[in-house]
Amino acid sequence: MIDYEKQSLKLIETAEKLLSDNTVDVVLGVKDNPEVGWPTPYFARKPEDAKKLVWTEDCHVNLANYLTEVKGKKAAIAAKACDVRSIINLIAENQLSRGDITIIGMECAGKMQNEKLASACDACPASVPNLYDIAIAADGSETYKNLEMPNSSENVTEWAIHTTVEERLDRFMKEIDKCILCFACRQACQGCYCVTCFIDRKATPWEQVDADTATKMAFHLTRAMHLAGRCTDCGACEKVCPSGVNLKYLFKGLSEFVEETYDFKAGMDPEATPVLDRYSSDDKQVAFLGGDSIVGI
Amino acid sequence: MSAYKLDIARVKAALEKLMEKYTVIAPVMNGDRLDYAEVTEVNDVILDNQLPYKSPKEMVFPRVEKVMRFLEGKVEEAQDIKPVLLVGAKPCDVAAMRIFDDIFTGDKGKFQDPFYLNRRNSLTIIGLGCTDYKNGCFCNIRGTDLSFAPDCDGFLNMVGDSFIYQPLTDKGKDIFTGEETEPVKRADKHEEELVLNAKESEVFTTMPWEAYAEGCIGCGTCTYLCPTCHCFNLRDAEDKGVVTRTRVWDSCMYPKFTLHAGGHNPRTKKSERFRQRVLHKYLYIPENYDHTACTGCGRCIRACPGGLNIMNTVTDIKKRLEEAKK
Amino acid sequence: MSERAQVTDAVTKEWTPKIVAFLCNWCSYAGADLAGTSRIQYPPSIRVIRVPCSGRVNPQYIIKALSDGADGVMVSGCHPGDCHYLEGNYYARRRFSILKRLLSLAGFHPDRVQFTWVSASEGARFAEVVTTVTDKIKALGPSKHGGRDGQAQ
Repeated sequence: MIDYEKQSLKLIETAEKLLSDNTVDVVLGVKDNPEVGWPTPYFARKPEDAKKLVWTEDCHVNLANYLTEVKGKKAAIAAKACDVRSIINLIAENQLSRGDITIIGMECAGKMQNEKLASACDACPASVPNLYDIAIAADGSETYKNLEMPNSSENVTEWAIHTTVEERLDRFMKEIDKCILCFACRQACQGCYCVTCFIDRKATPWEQVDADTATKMAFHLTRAMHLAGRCTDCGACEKVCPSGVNLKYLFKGLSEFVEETYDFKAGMDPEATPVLDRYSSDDKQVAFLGGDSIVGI
Repeated sequence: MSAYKLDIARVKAALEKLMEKYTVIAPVMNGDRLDYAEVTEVNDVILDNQLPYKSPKEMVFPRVEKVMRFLEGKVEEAQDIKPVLLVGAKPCDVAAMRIFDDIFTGDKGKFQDPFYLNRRNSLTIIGLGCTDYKNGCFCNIRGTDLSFAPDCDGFLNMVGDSFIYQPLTDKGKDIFTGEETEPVKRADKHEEELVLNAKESEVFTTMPWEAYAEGCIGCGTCTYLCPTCHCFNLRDAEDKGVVTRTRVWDSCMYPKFTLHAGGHNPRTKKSERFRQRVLHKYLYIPENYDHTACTGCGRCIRACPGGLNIMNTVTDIKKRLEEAKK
Repeated sequence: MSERAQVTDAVTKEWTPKIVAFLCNWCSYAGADLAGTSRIQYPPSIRVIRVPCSGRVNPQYIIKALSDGADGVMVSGCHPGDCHYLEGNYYARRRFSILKRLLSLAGFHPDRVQFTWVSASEGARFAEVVTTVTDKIKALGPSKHGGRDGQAQ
């Protein structure tokens, strides 16, 4: 379906060209890493570096995060559809400037992790990025093929309607029980770019970081709240967790709610104002005493 | 002491018995990965060539440990714990225990950590030899033997279908028995090739630390999985008049690790934090304890989402040092 | 049994929930004052925290209260369009709607978190709201979530 060899060659060729004519200072991509078992981030800074770049079926890393680190420099990034949603999100929130970034849009039909389709990928709506400067299609050409995506992820709203509060609490507790509060999920997340995270603030002892249930609950719920309408479903949090915590359903459930109630989807339009940064005087009275009832739940 | 030969059924039968006296910790499957965990069913125990995902340091140095409680003028200290038997610790993990012993009984026993010693003294370690290297392992160039570790109470080796058990201390004497046999002949001990014989000034600013650490996302997974990382923080938490002091793991890969009370932070860049991790293991601990604090288990390399590689980094530093000398 | 579970009504000796109430300074807090000065009775279950505006209530405060073991949380501000700061409660409305969905997904009963509008002149309504909220949370029983050390009660 996807010719990774041709995509790799095309990517190297593109990166070499961009670096040698000084269009960009750095190309963000991935290189082989036999120890880890899948390709890991690589920053190509010289035209001869470009040869190390690869593109494979298991290069599932979201590189958007690294763009904030090379801020101010001209950077090109090899990006899948989900990475591009993250980049758009960062542009919309004034973390990146569009003019500095050259997006090399890689066509993608889902990435493999541990020999199966990464669980984030089954929710992916499109094989093609919605914003790009240079296209590298499935066959290495420049015309996207618009491959069919599995799109078989669970509908969290449906799930919530058909479960009881206790069942939902069970699922949540089972996940956070595994958590060791290492905050790898936060570090890997494109949306978590705060200089000092609320959980790290020293001035107010809101949270004491000893892995008790109350702290874990407060951390994960607040993080989910902060990512409401901003999560781009890239699955980086889940891929990076050393304990196998998977709370993506919370983020997904909120995305569904935001889309349904406020008609907003993260990572679609770099010009859009984030959903919690604006209001409308005729917003529904969802969740209010005597107001419009919350759908199903 | 002589050695005993026994098959897996006998090992498991012995473990079943030992579970009455000890809390038995051994490699068991946790979801789809192998972890050192408490054994509830003997048949779950997996003794083979695989390396568990996490290191067993939690047995002596728990992630969260309550060290004290202050209540109504009383101070409660740590309590006695049931003896723990750790079976199936890999040579690299056993070697790490020695480093822990040095750290927590610092300056040749002058500074003793009671909470550590309490757990260490009630712990019996039975090592288990590897039969092959795994992806990312570099214990051979770190001088760790594949099939023997001197710092445990007894050692199991897989020979064909059966095990050969060699007791090493009094604690390990009666753990397993079987028909007497010759101890497994030790393979030649590897040389510690991967060491840094350098001064701090030679590497601190001259090496390309930014390039080594560019993939780092600061998640700290490397330090959480490392069998020798031992940095911690003490926290006091108040709840309804009772103050609990807990010791929790900390990590040099977090920006907040070096944040001073006055607001200054001497290590703000990720390259500086990675440099600290590498040099602490390969330069600072050797200065104080005569050995390098890395056993070559490769966990940090395999788990790193950013692809940082301590082995390649140190190899590269060595290469650059040699070139500089020429 | 924790202290939390032992809180009982002084008169009826039955369990009363602990509810944290965030009230906006300009409307709901004044409404609560009016209820008091008018000698209107309402259950003694709420612990009032006065905030400048319902838009000031960080969702984290609500999460913190619940994860530390509060039986319920109530937030009350000015009616939409009446905000002292013109638009604070509009922002709050979106935020709370999303928060309530989040808590519901994570297994908190939706009735444990209540949002409402009470103006400065609605003393009677304030009493009514507190009664309704208390009844709803009472029906759910003590919170099973959180508490330090995970000692859920």
